[in-house]
Amino acid sequence: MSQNKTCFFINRRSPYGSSYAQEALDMAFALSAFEHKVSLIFMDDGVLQIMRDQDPSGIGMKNISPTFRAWQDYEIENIYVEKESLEIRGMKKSDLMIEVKIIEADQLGKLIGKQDFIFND
Amino acid sequence: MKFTIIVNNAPYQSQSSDTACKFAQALISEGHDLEQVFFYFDGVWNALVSAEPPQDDRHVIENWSQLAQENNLDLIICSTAAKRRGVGPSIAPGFKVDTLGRLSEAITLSDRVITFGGS
Repeated sequence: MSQNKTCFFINRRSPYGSSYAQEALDMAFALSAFEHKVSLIFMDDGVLQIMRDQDPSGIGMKNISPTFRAWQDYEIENIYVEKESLEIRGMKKSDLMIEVKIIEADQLGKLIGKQDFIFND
Repeated sequence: MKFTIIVNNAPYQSQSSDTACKFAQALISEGHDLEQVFFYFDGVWNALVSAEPPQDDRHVIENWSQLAQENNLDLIICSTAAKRRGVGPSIAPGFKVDTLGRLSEAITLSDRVITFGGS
């Protein structure tokens, strides 16, 4: 059995309105810190998590953006965004605060098939 | 086969925790190993020691405690998630507070990790 597992996080939640986004990222980073091979995909409302220029001060939520600035300190394997999720929200790659690989929904099954551990929320 | 179970929902409002507990029992009775049950997000509410459901309802939290006691199981609640919600320091029997590092170990050791609840 290999020591390090491939872990895949499917982030589908808006960054605010619940604590799901923040706590799922906490788990992703923790597993990465313990040397698992972590990859993430942002899809559905999850693409809003990595949108530039967020300011949730008006609703009293903690800004999620600094989490991604710490990204470089972690060895995250791959970061994906599902193409249609961006398009139907009128967003472009340049609206995102981090470098990502854009993939089509039909590539997702193959990607998931390669992973040891899936965390979908 | 060695399993780890993750529970992401609080008891009662959803059935995730009940199902996870039954799944855990089924695993063990089929002769599989259960490495750990890890409680995350609102799942940490499953360790609430003061819960008193009506007598004609099932006691989800006691079901977990009993499962832990009978099988010498580790029921781990995430310390950060628990502190954020004010769960603990006093928690139900069989539960322990620990970090995501414990989950990381369990993932390393397990053949399968099954998640209940979350969406």
